[in-house]
Amino acid sequence: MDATAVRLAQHVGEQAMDWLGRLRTSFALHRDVPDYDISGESLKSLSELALAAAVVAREAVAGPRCAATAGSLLGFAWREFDTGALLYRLQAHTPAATHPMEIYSYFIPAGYRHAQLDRLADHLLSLRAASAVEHVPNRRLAVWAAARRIGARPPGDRDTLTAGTWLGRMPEPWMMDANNAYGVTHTVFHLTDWGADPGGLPEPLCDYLHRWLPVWVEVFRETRFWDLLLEFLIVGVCLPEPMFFPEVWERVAEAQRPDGMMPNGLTAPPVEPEHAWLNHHHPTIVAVVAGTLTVSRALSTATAGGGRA
Amino acid sequence: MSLTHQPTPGSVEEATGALAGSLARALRGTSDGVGTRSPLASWDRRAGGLAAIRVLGADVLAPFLLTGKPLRQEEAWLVRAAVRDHPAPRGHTPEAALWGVRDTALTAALARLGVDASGWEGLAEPRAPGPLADDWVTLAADLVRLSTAAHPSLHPELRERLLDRRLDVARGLVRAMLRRDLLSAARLTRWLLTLAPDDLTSATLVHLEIAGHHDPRVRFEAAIARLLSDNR
Repeated sequence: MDATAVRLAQHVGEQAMDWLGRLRTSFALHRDVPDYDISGESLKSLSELALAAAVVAREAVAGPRCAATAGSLLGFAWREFDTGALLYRLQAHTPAATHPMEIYSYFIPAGYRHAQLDRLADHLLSLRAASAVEHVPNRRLAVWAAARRIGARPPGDRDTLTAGTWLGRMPEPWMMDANNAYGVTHTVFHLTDWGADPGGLPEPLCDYLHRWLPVWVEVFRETRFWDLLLEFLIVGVCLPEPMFFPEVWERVAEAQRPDGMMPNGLTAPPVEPEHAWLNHHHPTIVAVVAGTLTVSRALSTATAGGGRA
Repeated sequence: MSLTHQPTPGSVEEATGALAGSLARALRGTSDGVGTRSPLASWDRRAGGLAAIRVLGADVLAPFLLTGKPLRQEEAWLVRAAVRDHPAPRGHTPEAALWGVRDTALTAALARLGVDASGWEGLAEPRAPGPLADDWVTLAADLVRLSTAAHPSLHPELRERLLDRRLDVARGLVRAMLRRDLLSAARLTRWLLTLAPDDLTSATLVHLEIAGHHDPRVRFEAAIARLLSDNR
């Protein structure tokens, strides 16, 4: 990946982070309802904001302004979750749910911990029930990955859980669709801990992705499905031998709005950022993660002399 | 209401579809009426008939090449008339290069059936194919247009050069499938079968035979691919 494309990825990611920073109040949780009535969507949005900020903090390749925004957003999200107490209350109220501990796990690499939630998660993950959740296969891997971050015993073993996913079966690559695609990207995210551990991806899956990822990237580039395309760009840089798509970054940069918002490719964004937030915060969050990991892997492979252009 | 594209009656497109359907039936051993009737019979008297023969190129000879059915003199004459009436473009354009490969395949197919096409008016000048595109998207798009050469022995030079591009061809096939471009997918399946078949090509071919059945040109390409697969 040449220096121009790396700068482009950095620019897209940092512009996106600026937009998220300006729109932070849109991520705030509603406080006029009981804890358990806080919508799943708002918990999800805030947790994804925290995840993106945590990746920026972890990779430490952002410029000073972007790094400061990431740090500030992490603190904001943690406070919105009552410094973990809200997640603890949600987990205690609905012990069979897994999302509170999954959300909590995103904060752990950045050094945020909640001792009672640690104990509760450790206990719940040790129950027989932990391996009997009626999740789709890639969601089971999400819980497995969260348990690893928390330091609890993961429910199930990696290979068995992976074998249950779409990607794990390495199907005919033309059976890909948008639903399977999100399953594939998240299987990779969980197995590699969002790019922190590329070696966590079993070798046969790496070979499979090296063969077919260029096709999926090309198809979703052509259809301008930016949200999914950016997730596939992340998959490329989660591979032990990363795959970069510099020409695709040019298209992504062209599509990004001047204010940093990333369209999703499906709905027309309203002019007002606060109105655009609902349908476009997700692709903008993904742009932050994709830009950050692309820059980070490009720098590390340039140092190591590897990678595929 | 169907949104499927329908060719204009009397057009070359319609004639090409009809000829492809007739050839597909011949390949599957279910030719019209009596089994001895030629799939090319009377095509010179149909609107766009000779043009359709030129469009399908060496593929009009597939029933003879792949099933061992002998080519009659009058059938060879029909092919010669089609070439004469619709000559290949001349010069050094990409289009002329494409026709060079197509007509190399046609000449080789005729030679295998005992017909010497040297000196035929309208054939492209024989020439080596140009360099292959580096990127897989362009390579696959080029190969789709050259699919009449997708046979183990009709263009050995091109086939040889593609042997280390198998993954690129397979990527083109998968892209065509995802774009629901079944005709391109069938043609790239033929190329892969010519190079080296695997589980992907066999699963894809069955899918094309079923999902592409309503389109005579996909049906024809899939029938050729099936015989290439069975004859390996």
